[in-house]
Amino acid sequence: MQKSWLRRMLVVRRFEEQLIVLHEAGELAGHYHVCIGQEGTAIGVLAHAGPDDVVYTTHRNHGHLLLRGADPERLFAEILGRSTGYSRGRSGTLHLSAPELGVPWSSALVGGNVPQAIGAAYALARLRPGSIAVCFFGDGAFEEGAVFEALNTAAVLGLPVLFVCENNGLAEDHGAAGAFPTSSTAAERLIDLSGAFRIPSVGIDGIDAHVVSETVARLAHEVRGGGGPRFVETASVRWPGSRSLWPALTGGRFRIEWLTGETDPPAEIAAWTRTGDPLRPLHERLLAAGETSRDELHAIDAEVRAEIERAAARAVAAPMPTAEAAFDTQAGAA
Amino acid sequence: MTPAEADQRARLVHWHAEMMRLRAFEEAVAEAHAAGELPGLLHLSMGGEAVAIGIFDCLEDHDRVFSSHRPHSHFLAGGVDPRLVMAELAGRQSGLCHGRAGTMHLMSDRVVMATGIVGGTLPVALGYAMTRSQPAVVACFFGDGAVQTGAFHESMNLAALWKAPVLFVCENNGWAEFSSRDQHTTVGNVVRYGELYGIPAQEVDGSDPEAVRRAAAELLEPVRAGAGPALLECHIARLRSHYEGDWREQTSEGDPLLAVERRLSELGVHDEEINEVRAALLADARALCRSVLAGDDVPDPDDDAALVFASPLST
Amino acid sequence: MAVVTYAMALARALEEALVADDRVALIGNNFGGLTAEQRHFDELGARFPDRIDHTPWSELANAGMAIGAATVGMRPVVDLVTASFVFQAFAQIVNEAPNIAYTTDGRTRAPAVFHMLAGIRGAGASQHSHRPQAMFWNTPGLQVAVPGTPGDAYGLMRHYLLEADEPCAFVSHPKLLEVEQEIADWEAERLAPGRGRIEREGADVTIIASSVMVTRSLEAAERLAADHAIDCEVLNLRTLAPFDDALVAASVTKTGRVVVADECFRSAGAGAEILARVAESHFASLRAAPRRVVAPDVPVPFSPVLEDAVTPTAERVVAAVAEACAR
Repeated sequence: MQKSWLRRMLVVRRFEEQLIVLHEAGELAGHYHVCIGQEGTAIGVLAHAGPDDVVYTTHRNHGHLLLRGADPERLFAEILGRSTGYSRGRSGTLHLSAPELGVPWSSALVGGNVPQAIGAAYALARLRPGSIAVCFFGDGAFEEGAVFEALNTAAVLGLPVLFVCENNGLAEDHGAAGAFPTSSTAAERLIDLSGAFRIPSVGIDGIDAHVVSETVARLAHEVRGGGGPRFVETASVRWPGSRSLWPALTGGRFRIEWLTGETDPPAEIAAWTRTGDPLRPLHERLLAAGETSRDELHAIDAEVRAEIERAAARAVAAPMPTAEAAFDTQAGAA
Repeated sequence: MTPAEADQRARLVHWHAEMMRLRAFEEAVAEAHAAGELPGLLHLSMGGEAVAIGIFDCLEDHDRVFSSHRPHSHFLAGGVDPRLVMAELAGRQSGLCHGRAGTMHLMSDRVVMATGIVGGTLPVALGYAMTRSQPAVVACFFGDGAVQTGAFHESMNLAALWKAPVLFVCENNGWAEFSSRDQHTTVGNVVRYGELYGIPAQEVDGSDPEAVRRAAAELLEPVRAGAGPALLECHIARLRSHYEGDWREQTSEGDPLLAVERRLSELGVHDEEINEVRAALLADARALCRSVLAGDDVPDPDDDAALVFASPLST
Repeated sequence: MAVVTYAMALARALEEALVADDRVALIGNNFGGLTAEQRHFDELGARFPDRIDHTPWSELANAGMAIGAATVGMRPVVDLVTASFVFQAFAQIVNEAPNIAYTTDGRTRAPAVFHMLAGIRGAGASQHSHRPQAMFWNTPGLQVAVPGTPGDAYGLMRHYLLEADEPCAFVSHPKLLEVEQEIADWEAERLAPGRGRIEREGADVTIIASSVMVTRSLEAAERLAADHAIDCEVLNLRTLAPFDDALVAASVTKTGRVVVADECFRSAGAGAEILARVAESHFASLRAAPRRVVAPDVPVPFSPVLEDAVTPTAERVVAAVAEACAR
């Protein structure tokens, strides 16, 4: 666990919130997904992925891109379809990519990224031994046969891939420990599905970034060492703002005061803030270790909010691509 | 010998004869194919006879069966007239599907369909099962190769969630086309997937028709009562290579006929009796084949076009 | 001067690519299908055991794996065996690979080769006989190779493995595997995609062919010359995407008569698109309505007599050409 995680988690949180504001202002076309509630997993996992590793994510990809080093302004611009975005507006949120950051492609098909991730692992084993592929997907991906085919093949070929299944179906009271069922799978435990292929699999709390990090440190090391694939299921509580068809700022923007106890969160977000917000365990650990203070927390957050608002404003002001840009097949300026 | 033992012996003798009937058919087909008299790609079911007999003995008239790319034993054990199957393999108008299907697309009322796609019938069997009312069930045969397809997992998962009345019957011969099971998966026994999806599952020696029958009957009772699907893994031998004519010799040991004959011998049934019946069955099968091949009822292409689709055959 | 089969030429291309570039890899190894020609690929497998991975029968995962590997710098060819099985992998081949370069604005490339044996093969029945090249052609971002000769197979596979930066559906025909060609100069076979060949020069009519229809059209041309005094020009497209518009233009404007020979089903088959291009670009040059010799819209039946009835044979090409030249 590191102090820098706090700032990084706030960057992701404020970015996602800003996106919802932009959508409500009519700036965002199409559907989109935010990862609020899953930042703990993102930070804990990606803390152990280096510049030579490759990361496959899903339609819930903003946090992963940011944590891999994506520039918030260019990311906003891409999501808003601007010509200054990472792909000059061609990918939008659904296919965000930054190969220089080790994110070659985002598939918008549930389960579509999993066979590709094992392919990346297959390549890394040959081109960059010691590097790994990290593959994020949701519990719903187990509805797709592709995931089983990929798990089986990764196991048979011993590929260097870390599968991270984000199960955001945890109840607010967290339910029974160690058993994370979903509504769409007949298996009692998701890790039994990967375990059937003899892939060492473990289910953990996905809300506390430190817990995630401890587990992933070990698993990533094993994968790098040639031990074949590993599987971790990270459980989190779905953020209330993600429950409706379109993300909504349920309870308003997050406030530091809810963490510090200076004010109480609104009723509709209170339970989640207590048990599902990854900022809470991170902040508590850092406070307990004497690594931060209430004042510092506010200061960091103020700085992050200002940075995100500036990035968003610049992205909104950036030009849309021209119609002709749909047809040029040369890469735009890097 | 007690009356019960005598009954059991009689039943085994009967089943053995049935198994030999299935085997004789495949042998006649293999001979004709090797002589160039039957066209196309053929996957024979030699080695799977005990499973076919054991499963069908548990099925009623209202049950339905889905098959794989090794369908002959399923269709014959399911009561389809062997002449219709032979004629279909020969591409004749009098064939089960008027020459349109060949071996891999056989279709009938009771044994609904075979398939050329590994795992292809699993989702279809599931959907079909959802239309059935108790106590009817659907039995779906597939090989161990199909277990590596996404379709297997999707079908098992949905069948379990929806409590579909399906008996999944995996004929595990340890081969998927030209490579062995251990090159395809780290999961040894298919029966494990039962536990995974929370459905009753058993593993059985597929060369023993009595064991297959017993296991299937036990699994079918709750399936018929609406408790949801079940999985039966039958270990069998693949007595021929993946397809007829394959120069790679990729077979496994364990002929079910020999296994049953050893048992019959213990029960005092004489070799000569068995051999007589075997010879007669093979002669019948060969005669059937000759008779079908002598027929000149080759399908009429113009007639076919008018039946099926709107656009004419002429280009 | 070597006489090689299509399979041998394909194996040669694979071998040269494996030797030339460490990033080339083979996923699956049934390129030769169920013919004895498979032995050429088995030999390759024995020589390069760590460059070839035998994967489970999971077409979707195998295709996706090739794509992922390609985006991280490898140059893989994945063998999907029978083209009819390619539908299991469609989500990856059609809905992922072709979109990647365009959608990432060229920053990520996915040069994966999807090889398959597509064609009416002889008693293959409905699920082993598909020709999906038209469906692939209807997919921007995916190149479609339809080699008609052993030399084509060599040149195109070499190109895709060593030079291409787009994914490719490489559609071989099972009936071409054993076809022979005398190849004097291997380098001359290294024609880029989008460049077709005139296999037979002629003055009276242009037959636009691809894949197995090249051989059948050449056969038809012999018969037309002998029996009908019709002099055919036979074009071998080699690839559908990219398409050699210039080759077609030159020939059609010269002869003024066109017959397209294609084994796809009639409706929205490859033949349909070729005819459309001819009609929209060369209408003024045409002296007769363009025609196509294709498979009718009927699932491929098993019985050899029925299968023959739905196959665009050399005889049918002869008949169509004779009709096109009748006035």
